[in-house]
Amino acid sequence: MTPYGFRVVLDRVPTDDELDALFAAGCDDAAFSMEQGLSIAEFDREAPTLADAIVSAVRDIESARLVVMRVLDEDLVTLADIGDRVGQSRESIRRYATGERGPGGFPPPVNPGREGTVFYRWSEVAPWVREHLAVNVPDVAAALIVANLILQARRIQGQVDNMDALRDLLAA
Amino acid sequence: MISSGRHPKKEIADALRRAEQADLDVEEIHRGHRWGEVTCVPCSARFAVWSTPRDAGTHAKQIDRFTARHTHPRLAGRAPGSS
Repeated sequence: MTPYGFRVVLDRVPTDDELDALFAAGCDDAAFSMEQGLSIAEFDREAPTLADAIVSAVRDIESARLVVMRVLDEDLVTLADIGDRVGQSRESIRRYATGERGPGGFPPPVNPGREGTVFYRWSEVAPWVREHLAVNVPDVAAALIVANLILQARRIQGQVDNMDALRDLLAA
Repeated sequence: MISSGRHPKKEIADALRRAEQADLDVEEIHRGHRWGEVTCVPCSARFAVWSTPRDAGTHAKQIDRFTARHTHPRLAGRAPGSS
């Protein structure tokens, strides 16, 4: 089996007792750290697929009563980030995004209409870049992105009136 | 800073030595499954070092990645050769 490397953010820094519980729960393939105030677990987990690796890591952490808040996927990017990844200036990417330049059809931002920093999804921008700018940029692993969205949906689904309707949307 | 002992797994001991060479603090703690802790003093990041991780080589790489993230540029006054 292949080891899959990924990092998750936990709801808090584990205490000594919680570290022992995490170790006993199977997280002896993970490294726990606190960086910039964030509680991070870095996994190198053997599993048939990346999705299996992430799900088993989430289950192990939850069995030690901690919460996985995020999977680090680097999918949320600014125009400057896109410029760095493409090898062009932020300004030239901004002009592609607004259609002042290039063929148009640039993926919409995540937070349109907001003053200040605008974010895009790299998973949407990368195919556009490959097709229209002929720069062979890599994708973020889709399993990381979807896992992150599902973690968020799991936490908030209890507040949705008729969650089944939305779940059906995911199913088909 | 010199730790009082070496980690029993050679690959991990080597990674901890590299962390110390990069100006990170290595502290031997022996609490539960935790052998000790690596700390970056300038940004107060901390990393828990296991005594018996599933795979010593993998844990050593995790330590090395932490070290790489916390190899901050030295202050001008501490740069080698400056006086």
